[in-house]
Amino acid sequence: MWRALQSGLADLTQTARKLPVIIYFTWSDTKARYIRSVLGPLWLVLGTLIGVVGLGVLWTSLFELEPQDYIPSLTIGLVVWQLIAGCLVEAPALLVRKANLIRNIALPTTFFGLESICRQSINFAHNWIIVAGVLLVYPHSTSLSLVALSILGLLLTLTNLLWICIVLGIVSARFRDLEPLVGSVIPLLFFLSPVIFRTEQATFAAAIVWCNPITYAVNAIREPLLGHTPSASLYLAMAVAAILGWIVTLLVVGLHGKRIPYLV
Amino acid sequence: MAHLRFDSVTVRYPIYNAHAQSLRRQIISLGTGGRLAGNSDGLVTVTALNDVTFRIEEGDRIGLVGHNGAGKSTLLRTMAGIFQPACGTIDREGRVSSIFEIGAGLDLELSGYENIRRMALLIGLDRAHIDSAIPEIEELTELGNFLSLPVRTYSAGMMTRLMFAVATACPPEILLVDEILGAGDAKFQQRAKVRVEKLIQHSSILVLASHADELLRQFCNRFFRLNCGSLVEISADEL
Repeated sequence: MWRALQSGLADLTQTARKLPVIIYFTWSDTKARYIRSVLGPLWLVLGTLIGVVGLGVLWTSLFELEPQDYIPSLTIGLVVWQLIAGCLVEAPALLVRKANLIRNIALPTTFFGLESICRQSINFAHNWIIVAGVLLVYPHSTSLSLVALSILGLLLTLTNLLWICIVLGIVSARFRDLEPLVGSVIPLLFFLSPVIFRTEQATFAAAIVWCNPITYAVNAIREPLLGHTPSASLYLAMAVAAILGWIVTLLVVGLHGKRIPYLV
Repeated sequence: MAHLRFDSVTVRYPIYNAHAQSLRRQIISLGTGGRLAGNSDGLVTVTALNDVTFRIEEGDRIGLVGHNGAGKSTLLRTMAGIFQPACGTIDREGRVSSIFEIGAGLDLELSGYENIRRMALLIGLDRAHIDSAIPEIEELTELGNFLSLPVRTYSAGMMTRLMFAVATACPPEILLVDEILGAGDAKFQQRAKVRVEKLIQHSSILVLASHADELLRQFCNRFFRLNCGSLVEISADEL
């Protein structure tokens, strides 16, 4: 067990050493997308914008909600959701799709997880254009320390997403039907995540909503930006999940990472 | 000093069929105490290399022969550190570069230049090195303006040229080549030969797997024959 942990850690260190390679890949991908079409990744932003406007107009008029509160909440929720869902949908195919690379170049197993997170983070960063716009139209008083709290929430989210993606990638290299399974669970999770509603509005199903890990991520990033201070237990829960998750991940990588070239 | 030493290395790998790759079926077989799965659990273990021992030192150019499925590709991948042995130890010293499959690791949508950068980064070269190596790669591939086009427009021979040029751009200490050198045309073969000879002068190691005995005699000074995962060293006459 100790040796598996060590070998998992060694894999992760190798990936960390390849970070400049990953950054170059992400950067050149983004550049290529800007070259191929004028808007480049901004097409995605356009999609988010349509979602925000459509859902915003629909729900504010349907439930007579106050746009001042609802629209920023919806926007940040949607943007965070897209980051998480994007990573999760992509994760099961990470290793399988890269089979021709894995079978030909000795690369650490965790490499592809980090690459995927970096790519999704670029899209996420682009989407903040909309958040900034919405917060300009519907300003919320927030403070520097609250913004820092939101960034902490984002970092914890990414740390957790990374280990989840790595584990999903490895497990679904072995069990190929995990990919459609994840694909069918994600839309369901959307309705259990506080994107189109706020957690305090879901009084009837609060227990279920809080069972969904995405709830923690959305609230940890969103609430500080809207001027609320979320409870410290939120961040604590995410930090604990990250630590436990990473221990499991290092074990999985250490025990099964070496078999990946045979599996894909 | 580059070297590559195998000490009773055995490589086994599991092959799963569609049945064993299904999480749903695994869960069902748990629930039924495994009775449904029976003997057909779909798991076959292949011993691809069996107790392989050898020492390759600097300047050795190894020709690897064996019939289809004898384990040549597995041996090369184990040498490269992609496959990990089930038992035995591998002692490898030196930067490895490999050419295994045509088009492996190439992103077909990206241009030749972009692929050169990516592959070179992946095999561990730094960017300053890559930029200085690009003129040499351009010359060796002779692809000219094709390097600006997406790689999906290339023929197999052109991809081989590209991969060979990248793999040898900065002289690797250990170069592993599987079969595909035969894909280039006569002129490229000639250039490849010059290139490999130059690499050898920099006292590196070459392992070349091929069915073309003539090619092996041309490039190599030691010969290994693989038979069902077992390795024996043979002389040039026994090829």
